[in-house]
This record gives sequence, C-alpha cells and structure tokens, in this order.
Amino acid sequence: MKRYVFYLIIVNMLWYSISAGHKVLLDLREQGSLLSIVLSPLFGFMFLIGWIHFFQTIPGKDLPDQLLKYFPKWLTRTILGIISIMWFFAGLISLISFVFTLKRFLTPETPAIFITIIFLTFITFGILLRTKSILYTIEIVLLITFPFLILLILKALTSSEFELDFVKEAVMHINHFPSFSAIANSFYVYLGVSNLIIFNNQFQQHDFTFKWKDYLIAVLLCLGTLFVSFFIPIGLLGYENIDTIPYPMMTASDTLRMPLGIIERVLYIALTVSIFTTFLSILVHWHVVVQIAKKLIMTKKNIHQPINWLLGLIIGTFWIISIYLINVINEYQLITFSKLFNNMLPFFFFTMILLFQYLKRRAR
Amino acid sequence: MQTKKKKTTSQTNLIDLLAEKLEPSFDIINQKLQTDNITVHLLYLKTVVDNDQIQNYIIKPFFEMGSIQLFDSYIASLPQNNKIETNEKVLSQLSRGSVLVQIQEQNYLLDLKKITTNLVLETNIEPSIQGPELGLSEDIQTNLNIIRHRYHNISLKIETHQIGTSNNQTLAILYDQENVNDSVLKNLQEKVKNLKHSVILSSSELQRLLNDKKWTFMPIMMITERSDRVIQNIAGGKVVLILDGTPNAIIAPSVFFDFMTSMDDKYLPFGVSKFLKVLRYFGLFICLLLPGVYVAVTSYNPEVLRSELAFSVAGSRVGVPFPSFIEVLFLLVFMELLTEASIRLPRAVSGTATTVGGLILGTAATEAALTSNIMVIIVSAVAIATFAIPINEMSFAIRIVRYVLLFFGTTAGITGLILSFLAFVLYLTNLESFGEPYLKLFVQRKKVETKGVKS
Amino acid sequence: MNKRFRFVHFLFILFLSISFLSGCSFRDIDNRAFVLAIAVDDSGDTKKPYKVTIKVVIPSGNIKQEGVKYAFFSEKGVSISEALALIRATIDKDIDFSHTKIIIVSKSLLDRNLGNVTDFFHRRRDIQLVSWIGIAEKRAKDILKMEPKSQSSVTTPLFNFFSRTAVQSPYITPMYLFDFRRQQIETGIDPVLPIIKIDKKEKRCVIHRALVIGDGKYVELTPQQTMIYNILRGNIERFNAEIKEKNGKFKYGVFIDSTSIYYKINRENSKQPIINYKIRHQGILEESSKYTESNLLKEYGKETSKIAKKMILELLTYFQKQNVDPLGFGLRYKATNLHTGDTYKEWESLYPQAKFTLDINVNIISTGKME
Repeated sequence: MKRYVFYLIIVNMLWYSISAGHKVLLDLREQGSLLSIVLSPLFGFMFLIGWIHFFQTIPGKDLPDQLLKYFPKWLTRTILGIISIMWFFAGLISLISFVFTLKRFLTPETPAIFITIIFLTFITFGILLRTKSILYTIEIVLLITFPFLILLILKALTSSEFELDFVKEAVMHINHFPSFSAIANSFYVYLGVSNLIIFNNQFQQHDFTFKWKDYLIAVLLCLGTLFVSFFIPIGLLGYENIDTIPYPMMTASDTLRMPLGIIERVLYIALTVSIFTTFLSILVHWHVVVQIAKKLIMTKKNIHQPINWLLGLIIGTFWIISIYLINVINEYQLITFSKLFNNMLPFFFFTMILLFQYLKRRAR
Repeated sequence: MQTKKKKTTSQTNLIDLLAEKLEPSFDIINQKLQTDNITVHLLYLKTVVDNDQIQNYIIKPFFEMGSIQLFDSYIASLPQNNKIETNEKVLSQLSRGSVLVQIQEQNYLLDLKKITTNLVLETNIEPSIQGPELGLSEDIQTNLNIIRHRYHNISLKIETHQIGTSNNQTLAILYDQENVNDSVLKNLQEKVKNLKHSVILSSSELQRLLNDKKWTFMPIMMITERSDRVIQNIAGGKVVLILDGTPNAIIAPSVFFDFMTSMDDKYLPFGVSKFLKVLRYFGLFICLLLPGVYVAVTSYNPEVLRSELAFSVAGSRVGVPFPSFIEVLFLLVFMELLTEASIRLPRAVSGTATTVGGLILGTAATEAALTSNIMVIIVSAVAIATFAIPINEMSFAIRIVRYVLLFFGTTAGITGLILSFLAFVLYLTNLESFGEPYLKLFVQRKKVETKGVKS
Repeated sequence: MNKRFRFVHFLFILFLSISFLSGCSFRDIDNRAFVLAIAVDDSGDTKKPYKVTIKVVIPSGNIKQEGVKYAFFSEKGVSISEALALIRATIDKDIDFSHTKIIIVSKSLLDRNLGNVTDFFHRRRDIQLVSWIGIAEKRAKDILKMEPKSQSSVTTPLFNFFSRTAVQSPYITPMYLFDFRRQQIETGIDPVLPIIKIDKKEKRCVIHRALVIGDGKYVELTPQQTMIYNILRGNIERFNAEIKEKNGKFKYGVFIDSTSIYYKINRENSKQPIINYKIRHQGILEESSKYTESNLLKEYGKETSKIAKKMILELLTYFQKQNVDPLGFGLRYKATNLHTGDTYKEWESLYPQAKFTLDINVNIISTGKME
C-alpha cells in the first residue's frame, strides 16, 4: 500500500509542473531558482521525514482523530479550520489557473464560467465518494497517463529544437543566491505527502513503512520534476524568452511535432494529461477539506446522515467562491496570489511538523 | 440399517392424507401392490417420475421377492432413498419426482425422477477457441454432477435452498470451504434466505433480486454458461449460485476485471493471451470514447487532427444537415437497433438483417448525405469494439455509459469528455461487489493487498 | 410507477438539453474555414500599412477525385488583427487558424520592426508554434497564390519544402515560429529566415537564399552562404558539394551523407577569443569529369577539405564583419561562462576580435557504384 503514498506525491508533482509554481520559478531564474532547486531536496527530505514519521506512528488514523483525542475542542476546531482553508485554497488555485489554461489553449470560445461549472460538477461528485475509491482512481488514472507522460518527456528531450545552449546558459546562473520565493516555490513540489492528514486513515501499520530507499525515490522523483519543469521550457522556448510566456509547460509542448503521429501537435496530449492530473489534484485537496468537515460535523449529533446540510453548505461555498473568483480575477492577480500562497507554505508546513512532534509526545 | 424410519402417529394414513392433498391432479397415482399376504402402497406423480425405474426398482423386485422383510430392507438400502421429515417436505419431494413407498407401517421416499432437461448444452454466448465446448445443462443435478466431476476436492461444499415461495425452485450454493470469502458467503446466504419473491425463473432475475441497488447498470455478479469458468471461480474463492432450470451459473463477487477476461486467456499461450487482453482493453476504450471523441474533436477542436484528416472530415461532412452529435446519435441508435434485432430474430434471418441494415443503410445514409462516411466508419468501429468485450452484461453496461460520455463530449468538448470519463472511473472504484472493490488494481499479491485496507 | 416515469422524463430532458447546452462554442467542422497560410504585405498605404492575405481550404466531398480547392481573401488594416476582422466579415464560415502552417512576410515590411509583425502570431493560441515563417522577396500574396506544377499535397505546397519530410535541400532554411521568437528575443543569436522567390515563367518557388535578422539590420546571404550556414547550424546533414578546377571547370562532385560539427570558444587569450571548429564529413563521390582511382580517395578528401575550409572561413568572417551572429556564438559564450557580470556585454566587445580556426576533414569512402 506504500505505493498509494507515492501516488499522492506524484499527483502533486505532476500538477506542480503545470502550476503557477514553476512559472514563478522560471521568472526567478536570475534570482537563484536553480540553486534553490538543487538545495530543495534538503528541505524536501526534512519535510517528508517529519510527516511520514508522524503518520507512521498512528496507522489507520488521521489528523482530526488525533487532534480530537489530545486537544480541547475549540483548539482542534481552529487548527482544522486553518488547515481546511489552506487546502481549499490550494484546490481553488489549481482550479482557477487550470480553467485559465484551458480557456487559453483548448476552448477559447467557451465561457470560463462554463468550464468551471463542468469541473465543479464532477469534482463535487468525486469528493463525496469514499477515500479509498479516490486512491484507486488515482492509481488507474496514473496508469493510463503514464505512457503519455513518458512520450512527452522523451519527445521534448529528443526534439531537435531542444537547444542545449539555453539550458547551459540557465545552468551558468547557478551562482545567484536564492530568494525566499524561489525556495518556497521549489518546496511546493514535495508537498504531495501532506494529504496524508486524511488519507492516512486508509493505511494500516504493516503496509506503510517508508524506508530510506523510499524516501530517496520520493525525493528523486520530486527533484526530477523540478529539473524537467525548469529545463524543458527553457530548452525549447529560450532562456530570455521564457519571461514572456504565461504557461511555459503548455507552450513548450506546443513546440513539439509528431510528423508521423495520429495527433500531430503534442500540445493536445499534454493538455489531456494535464486535465487528468489537475482534476486529481483538486479532488485530493478538496476531499481532504470535505473529510475534515465531516469529522467536525460528526462530533455533533447528526452522525447517521452521510451528507447533511452542513456539508451541502460547504460545497455550496466552494461553488460560489469559485464561480465568483473566476469572473473577477485575471491572470496576473492569480500569479501574484499563488506566489503569496506558495511563500506562506514553508512556514505553515514546518509549524505543522512542530505540532506533530507535540502530538507524538502527548501520545507517549 | 442406515436410513432411519420416521414413525409418526398418523403413519398409516400418511398416504391417504397426502393423496387427498394432491387430489385434483390427473397425474396422481395411488397404487397398491399385492401378492398373497403382502401389501405395498405407492404414491407418486406420473408426470415427473421415471416409469422404467419404478418398474425396475420397485415392482419387479416386489414380485420376485418372497418375504416382506426382504423387500423392506431392499427398499431401505436403495441409494435413491431419502429422509422423510415433515409432510410438507414430502409433498414437495413428490412434486419433484419422488415415490412414496409404504411397506406395512413404514414409509420410504424414493427419488426416481425423470429428467428430460439433462442435456448439456453447447456454449453459444461465450464461445471459446480451445476451451471445452459444452457448458451447463438446464438440470441442477446434471450441473452439480459436471462440477463435482471437474473439481475433485472435499472442500467443495454444496448447499441447497428452496427459493420462490410459489414454485419452490432449487438453488445450489457452491463454494470451496477453504478459500471462500466468508463475509461474502454469509451475505449471500442471508440474501437468499430473505428472498420473498413468489416465482424466480432465471439466474439473471435472481441476480437482479440479489442486488440491493435498483439503478445500477454495471453488473456486480457474473452470469456464465461455461463450466470451466465456474470451476475456476470456485477455486479462486468465489461463491457460485446455480438455479435449477437455467443453464447459467451466477458468480459472486465479480469485479470489473472479471468481466474483461475470456476463458481463452487461460488456454492460449502467454504472449497471445496478453496481446488479446491489450486488444480487448483497446476495444473497451474505443467503444467508450470514440463517439464522444468524434463530436468533441470535430465540433470543438478540429486542430487536434492532422491537417489532411481534418480536411477530409470536413469534406465528408459537406452537405450533412445535422450537427455532429445528432449524426452520431442517429447512427448509434440504429446500430443498437441492429444489434437488438439480430438477437431477437431467428438465426436464419438475422444474418440478412445485419447485412441489410449495416451495409445498405450505411451506404444509403452517406449517399443521401444524412451522415458523413467517416461517421459510418467510426460507428462500425465502435460496434465491432463492443463485441470484443467478452461478457455480455459488461458490453451492455458500456453501451449505456457511452451515451453519457457522448453527452458530456457534446456539451463541453474534450474537457467534458475527459472529466466524464474520470467520473466513470470514480464511479467504478466506488462500487463494491459484496464488499470487494469493483475496480482496483492489484499490483502485489492479493492477500498482501487486502490486508492493508480497512473495509 | 411515478419514480420510473420521473426517470424517463429525466432522460428525455437530458437529451433535449444537449441541443441548448451545446450552443456555446459548438461549431461543426464544416462550418470552419481552415486557413492554410497567411501572407502579410506592405500595402503602401500609410494609414493602413498591413495587407493580409489568407489561403483558405474549401473542403470538397470527394478529396480523392476532386482534389482540394482553395480560396484567397485579402484585406488592408491598421493591424493584422484588424485586417483579419475585416476578412472575417467576408467569409460565410468561421476563420480557423488551427491548421495554419505557413506564415509569409514580405521583405518590404521588414523596414518596420518585424517583432511587431509576428507578435500577433505568437499571441493567438490557435496558430501553431510549429508553423513556418518565411520572407517573400517581393509580394507575399503572390507566393501564396502560386500553385506549382508538381502540386499534389492537400496542404500548402510550401509545407513540403519546410517540413523536410519530402524535400531535403541544403539551401532551404526552415524556421519555426517559436524558434524565430526565441532567437529574436535571446541575445547572442540572430534568427535567419528563408527568402522565397517566385520564378514566374516556370511557375515555381525558389527558396535558396536566407536573411539574417540582426540587431536592427538585415544581412542577405547568397545561396552558397545559405548552404554553408545550414550545414554549420546543423539544419542539414546530407548535401552535395561541387569541386571545380582553377579555371572554373567542373572537376568532381561529392555527396556528403553524414556530418558532425562541433565548436568551442577558447578563451585562453582574454582579449582575443578563438573559436575552434571541428568538422567531420563522410561521403561518396557522386560525379566526376574523368576516371577516378580509388587509391586517390584520400587526395580527393583533402582537396575537398581545403576548399570547404576556405569557404567556411569566408562566411564566418563575413558574419563577424557584419556583426551578426546567426550561429549563436554569443549564446554559447553565455552558456559556457559563469554569470558573474554581464556576460553578453563582454562578448559584444570580444566578438569583433574573435579568431576562427578550422579543423575540417572530409572522408570520402567510396567512388560510388563504379570506379
């Protein structure tokens, strides 16, 4: 079952490679992006150990269970409230930025609000299902997309248009000291495992032991993603030109051609894969929110109703906020906002690790 | 003497009592065999018992044997001898072809039924290339016989139940005690006991009644006519239900991948069967996605196609009065009708019907510019792909789901198509067949996998 | 009963609603006018400087028999988008750029800043980044309208020239839209665009020259220079080379079928960088004016190398003299030196002093089918 933990990491990783995070990293390439990528395994490793170690001590339980056990109710509610808001925004940013991507690349004439509603409909269907079935779905979808991913990466790297000089030029900028934003954005890729706060209740003790080899694989996967999402757009679109491109990964995939394929433009394969991964990413994030909400509601009287009005209210809020924001926000604001959000993440997650340490001590 | 004699106070008049209960039927025989000093009564229904057997096993020996004691012990040691419990049981046994023999004060129930349906049928729904050609018969005894003969293991248990409050059909539950999933077994036994229907005729009806949810279209129990599939599933720890009078067995629990395996996978060489499997899944995707992809691509994103292909699609659509989704729907519905018609029609005609429908309708529709010729190609590809799914129930289900995907492909283009496909996967993974996840990949060994999951 | 009825109702409404829901952006493929190529000309009008011509494919029901027909539309405008908006009003279908493969800009427009011309093509999402861009020597429109004798392709004839799936000529310099953009924005490399000329008499396109677009200046290359540029840039690996005698008489021809090119910027002398080229060719003799002897193959190779060396050095110094850098020496310099100061500024001052050394070796391995 260990592999399901990897799937959580991979979903986040794949989403990262088309998110605003890597765009920010590309923008900051003269402010130490590369160095922060190289250094990021350090933080990533710390983070992975901090989280996985904690959750290994409580097999079959999730964070809300643990908090309810050791903390007073008001504190639990506050902490869980903050967590669910963070997770909600993570999903929301994925949703909005991907709707923009779709509007730009796939269906420019469809109103953004319509794409949002379609997404929300299916996400609402998905997040209310059992946690386990989401894990199974991730596995199946990753299996389907895997050959396409390999194709995309191979196609990009073997393309005659992939100019090694641009990559080398980027490497020559390794001597810049990384800015905080660069570090925070490269840290984002490691965060997939954080969804364990809910998904951990699906794993029992004996099947979820991370050994050093697994940590190494996880860190290498994430590092690989960072390198791929940093160098492929630069190699294909040029080092200085990358500034002018709002969706580097998508645009980079449009520079590839399969002259002998059924589909000539690789962009459409990339888009299909990214619809899959984005949907999963939003699904995972919002499922966590829904499950936390369920746990909070369950402490009250109405346990027997699986979907009660409070849950309906929460999902209604998802709808309203998403539909409202999709109308008012523009691409620039979104990038600024997600930059801000990503900058906040390291603080948030390392505070969580402290919280875990405290919980561990209490449990002893 | 091994068989127990059941003594009741009303024993002397048991035959009369039963005869009275059975009375208005024309086929009731209440016979008295008599020699000098011995009298033996027989009671049976003429239409269900085997007259030859009565002649051979009862009447002949009766007149050949001198003493009543000898005849008594002879009857008692016959293998057809059954226990007598209550009067109701005896009655129902009589209706199944037993003969009640009364010798002095003792009653024996001999099972001498005549079976006219024990012919083992050829498999025609799930034919295979190299597997056994004969499937199950319509008689439960024969079926159990077949299965016992191919599964020589003491741990194979057969329980029988009577279901249907009116027609009291026999239902056998078969499982291998050693590796059966106990929770599934208990669940099924309970469900069978709680069946309140008066008449249950076929295994597919039974299967529907065993399913809790009303609006399901994915099958969660498999109906098969192949005895080798039954054996394989019993060995794999599944529960098999066989209803008397139907040549099909029900296998539960059944998950998605079970419906995608053909028995030939076991018989063909490894590489070949893997290739066929890949082909089958390819067919599944074609059948699910192709109509939706056609609409989404031609009406929202023609740039996905190669230029040459896009122009020829555009060219073939010149003059077609309908939008693409009507075109697809139109042809798909006609194709469904054709499939349906060729099932219902007599064999001799169905070939002609398909040819007339498929070829002539297709060509004429293109000629009349009602559809584009590329559309005809696509729909026939879809139709062929549908038949690549080995189990019928699954292909019915996929045929329905395809329209849902087509709907979303029409309303929201590629995005809608992919998302609805994802939702379909989510639906499947959320589905359970008697506690087993319906769609789940098993990468490790099954025991390791199931251990880690809370159910 | 009621429940079942409700379900049937639901299904009915579901299918009815398709026809309403699909209203937005649902457009059938036969209602789209696919643009194959765009030509941008200088209209001569100062107020409306752009004249845009598009080549639209008209799908026919029977491509195999009738072939493909095209229609042309052109309009003037302040900007390309305005001109296109005007064209949009003249076609009964929706203009769809998603299959546009060729963009041609006339040379006279180059006096305006070309960056602004191509901006529209970069910005629009439905124009492929893998479409080719070229320069028309005179009027771009004429090139679009020209239908060569040998045409059989469904797409536009120029497609076969650029895609290298059919034509492989060392004189053609294909340039993708995105490649043009990245080379244009990047300092240290200058894009080179093919120049397309029309041979009116013969009804054919001639593409054998190229234009280097430097910083605000254009350097036109001769066919021979274009060929050498393509070889050095790695655009082509297989080509023919003709060796002439001193009096200009043809001596023999060599067909090169594999090429490896490698260069390094040597900075040992901090004032004067040395650009070291290492070129290895392998090929066969293709045509000769007299009998050849196989033991002389080495001699032929040496002779060819010598001639090639002279030509390549000429071109390199020509680029240096013109202060353009289509081969990306500046980029290579940036890519091999740690970014401590402004590396490109350093290079700008170093480039005019740079020296070229050439290590070329042509290996002729066969005399062909006969000796």
